Amino acid sequence: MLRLNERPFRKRLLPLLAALLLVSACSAGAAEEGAATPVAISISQSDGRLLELAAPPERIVSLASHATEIICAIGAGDRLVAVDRHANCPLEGGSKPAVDSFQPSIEAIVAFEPDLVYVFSDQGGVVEGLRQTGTPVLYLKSPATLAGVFENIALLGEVTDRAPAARALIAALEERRDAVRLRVEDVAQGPRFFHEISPDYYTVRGDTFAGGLYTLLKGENVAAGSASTYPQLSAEAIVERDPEVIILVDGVEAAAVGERPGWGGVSAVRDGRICEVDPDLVSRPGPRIIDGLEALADCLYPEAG
Amino acid sequence: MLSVRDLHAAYDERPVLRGVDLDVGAGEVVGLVGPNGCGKTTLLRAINRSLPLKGGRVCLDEADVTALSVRELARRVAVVPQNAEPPAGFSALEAVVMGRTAHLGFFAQEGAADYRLAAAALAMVGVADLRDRRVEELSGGERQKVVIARALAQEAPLLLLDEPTANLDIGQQVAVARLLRELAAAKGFAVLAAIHDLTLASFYCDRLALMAEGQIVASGAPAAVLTRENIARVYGLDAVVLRRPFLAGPAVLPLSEEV
Amino acid sequence: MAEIADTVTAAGERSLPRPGFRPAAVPLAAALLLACVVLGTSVGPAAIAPDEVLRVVLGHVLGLDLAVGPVADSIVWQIRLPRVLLAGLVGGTLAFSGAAYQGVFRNPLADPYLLGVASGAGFAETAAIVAGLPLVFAGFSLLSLVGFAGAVASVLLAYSIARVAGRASSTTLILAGVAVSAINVAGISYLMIVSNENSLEILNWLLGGLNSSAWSDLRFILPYSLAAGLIISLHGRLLNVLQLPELEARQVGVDVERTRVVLLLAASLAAAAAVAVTGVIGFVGLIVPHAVRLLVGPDYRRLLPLSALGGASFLIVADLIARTVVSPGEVPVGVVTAFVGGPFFLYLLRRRRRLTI
Repeated sequence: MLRLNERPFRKRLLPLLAALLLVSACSAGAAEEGAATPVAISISQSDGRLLELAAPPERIVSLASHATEIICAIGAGDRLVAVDRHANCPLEGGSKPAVDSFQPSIEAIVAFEPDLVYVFSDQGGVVEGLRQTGTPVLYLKSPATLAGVFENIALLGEVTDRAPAARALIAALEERRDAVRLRVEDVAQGPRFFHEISPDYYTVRGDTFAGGLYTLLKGENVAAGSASTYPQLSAEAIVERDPEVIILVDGVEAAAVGERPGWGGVSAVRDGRICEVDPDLVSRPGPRIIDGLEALADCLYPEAG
Repeated sequence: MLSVRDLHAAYDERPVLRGVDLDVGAGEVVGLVGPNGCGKTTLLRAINRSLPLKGGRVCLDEADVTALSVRELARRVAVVPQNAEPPAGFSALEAVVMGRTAHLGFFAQEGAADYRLAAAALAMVGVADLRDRRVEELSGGERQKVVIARALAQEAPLLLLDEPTANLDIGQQVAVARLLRELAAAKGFAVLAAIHDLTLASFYCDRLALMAEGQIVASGAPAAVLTRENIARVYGLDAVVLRRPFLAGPAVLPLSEEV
Repeated sequence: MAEIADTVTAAGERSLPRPGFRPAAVPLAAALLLACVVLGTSVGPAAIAPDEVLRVVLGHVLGLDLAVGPVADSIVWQIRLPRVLLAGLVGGTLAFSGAAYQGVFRNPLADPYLLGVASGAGFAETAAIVAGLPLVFAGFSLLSLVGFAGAVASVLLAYSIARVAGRASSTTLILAGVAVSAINVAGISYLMIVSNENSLEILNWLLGGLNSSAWSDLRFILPYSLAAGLIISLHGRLLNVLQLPELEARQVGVDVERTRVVLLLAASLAAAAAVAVTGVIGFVGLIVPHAVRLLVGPDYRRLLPLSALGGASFLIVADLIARTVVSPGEVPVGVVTAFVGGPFFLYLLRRRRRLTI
C-alpha cells in the first residue's frame, strides 16, 4: 500500500560482497581498447564492466559517504566537486555541494561536469544513465570486510594519484586494528552481546560488516543462528538469551533500555553495560571504521581499555 | 391526508416540478400517470423529502413534512421505490421487518410482534412462502412484492409507490393493484402510485393525475382524464379510449399507423 | 394502524423465531479466543515450560509467590502476555471497525484504513520522528498520541471535504479518503527521503508489529476500543437497515447521515488508537468481517461480536506464527496475516458458492 523507501534496507541488506578490485597501474594488457590514449588505470567494477582512466580525475562526484571520507583522508579532498548529502565527515557545514545518492538526479550530477562519479548503489539505473551521458562512472559496491575497506583505500589512492598517502593510511589503520586484536588475544570467548540497529530490535548476524567486527572481537552474538542476515529478534528471545553487553546504534538512550518491559533482569541492564555508538562508525566502510572497532572493543572489554 | 401545494423542484438549475397541486385523501387510490421524464418519480421523492424543494409545501394532515424528523416521516409515509433492491444475504422476512425501523426505539430490537407483522405483510402480498428465502435468490417480481410487504409493515397511512407493477406479469399486476385497493378501502390508507400502464391505472384508481413537463395537466376520475385529446397532447400518441360496461374503466389502446 | 396489526397477527401466527439465528456462535468464538490466548501465552521463542507459564500468570493474578524464575517471570508477564493480549485487542478492534466501515459504505473493499486512519497516523508519527520529538514522555508513548491525533485529523479532513450541503455520499467520502491518504503517503515518502537517517524507524512503523508491546499499550487502546465497541454494537440493527440503498434506508426511518457519522467516528477512533500503537497491520480489518459474514450471514448483530472475537483470535495466532516461525527472529505480522488469512479466506469463498458479500 505504501511505497517504501528502500535505502535503509539496501544499506543493511545489500549482499556486501567484496568488490572485485583489480588495480593494475599502467597495465600493458588493459590498453587494448583505448588504443589512442594511454590507459593509466583500469578497474573492474561491481557490474563486471571495466573502467579505464587515462589520467587521474580532477572533478570527482562521490555518491558514497565512505568513499568521500577515504578521498579526504588521503588528501585528495580538493578534487571532490560534489558529495552525497549524507556525507557528514569530514565535511561538516556543507563545505561541498551536495547531490543525492538515494534518489540520484543524473542531470544534477552531470551539471558538475565531473570526470569521475563514484557510485556504490545503482539506484534507479544511475550507473547506466551516467555512462550514456559519457560521464566516467566508478561503480563499486560497499566493501563487506575490513580487508575490503583497505583495498578500497588503496584503489582510491591509485585513482587519485595519492598512492603513498593511501598506503600510509592503510598502515596506520592496520596497526590500530592489530592493537585491538592484541587486546583480545588471550580472550577465549568474549561477552554475549546484542547489537541494536532499530528500536524494534533489528540486529546483525555475524556475516555482516558490523557483525564481522564483533567476530574479530570474539563477542558472542545473541542473534547467532537467525534466519536472515539482519534479523528482527523477539523481545523475549533477547531477554532469554540474556546479553551481557548491549550496543545501541539506533539513537536509543542507554537509560531507556532498562525501562523496557521485562528487560530489567537482563545482565547488561543490571551491570550497566550498555553503550551508545555512532552508527556511522560501525556501518560505514570508511577510514573511521577503526574508530568504530575500538569503540566496540571498549564496550566489550572496558577493563582492558 | 396528503396535500401538495404549488410544489417546485429542480435538479441543479433544471426545473422538474413547476407548481404541482395534488390532494390524496384517506381511503383513496390516486394514480400518477404521464410520459417518461414528466416528473412522476420526482414528485414522489419531493413528497417524502428525498429531494430538496425549491418552493411550495407538502403537508400530511396538518403537518408540514419539512418539520418532521426522518423517523416521524417514515411512520407516516411508506415508499416502494422503483427497482428497489433488498440487501443480499437477508431472508425475505428479515428484509420486510426492516420496515419496522421507524416504530422501534433507537437501540431496541425487533420483537415477536414485529416478526408476526412482517410475516403477515408477506402473506398479504401473496408470498408467505418466501419468508425464509434469501432475497438475492428471488425473481424480480418476488423481490418487488417483498418491498411492497416492507412498506406495508411500515404501517404508514400514506403509501407512495413508484411503478409498483413494473416487474410483474399481468396476473401479478392485477393482484397488486387489487391489494392496494383493498388496503385503501379496508384500512383507510391513502395510496399514490406512479403507473405507466394507463389501462391498469384506469381500472384500479379512484382518481388519476396526468402529468406533463412538471405540471399536472389533468386530474379527476379516470374517464375524465383519459381522453383521446389528453393522450394525444401528453404522449403524442393517437389512441382509442375504449369504454365497455364489462370493464372497470376506460381502456387505452394505441391505434395502428395505417388506420 | 391498529387494525393492520390485528389482521396481520391473525395471518402470521406461525412465525416466531428469528430466522438463521445461531446463539451458540458467540460462546464458541469466545472459547476459541480463550484457547488462542492460552496457546499464545504458552508458546514463544523462549523455552518456558507450560506449567511455569501457568505459575507466573497465576502468581500475578492471585498475588501469590509461586517460586518462578525471574527470567521466566519477566518474559511471560512483561513481554509475552501483554503482547498476546495486545494482539487480541488490536485484532478485535480492527475487525469490528472493518465490519462497521463495510456496513456504512456498503462496500466490500472498505477497511478501517479507508478514510486515512493509517496514513494519517503514519504521516504524523513520521513527522514526529523526523522532528526529533521524544518518543516517550513521562513513561507514556508520545508517538502513539501524535499518531492518534494524525489519524483522527485525517478522517475529519476527509469527512469535511466530502460533506456538501450537509451530506456526504459514500462515493465522495471514499474518494476524499483516498485523496487524503495519497497526500499523507506522499508526505511520508517525502519525509523519508529528506531524512534518510530516520527512514528505518519509519519503515518499521509502517510495517507494523507487536514486538515492543507493553501493558501501557493495552491501557492506551482499551478505552477507545470499548467505547467504539459499545457504540457500534448498539447500532447492529441499524447497520442491517443501512444495507438498503441510502434513499430506502431513509424512507424506512433511519437518519442515514447521522448514523453514518456516529459509526464512522467510533470505528475510526478505535482503529486510530490501534494503528497509533502497532503501526499498520493489514488484512485483519478487511478479511475477518468477510470471513465471519460467509460463515454466519449478514446480520450485524452477529457479525460485530463475532468479528471482534474472530479478529482477536486471528491476530493472536498470526503473531504467534510471526514470533516463532524463524525464532529467535521475527516475521512482520502483516506478512503472516496475509499469508495465513489469504488462503483461509479463499477456502471460505470456494466453500460458500452463494457469495453474499
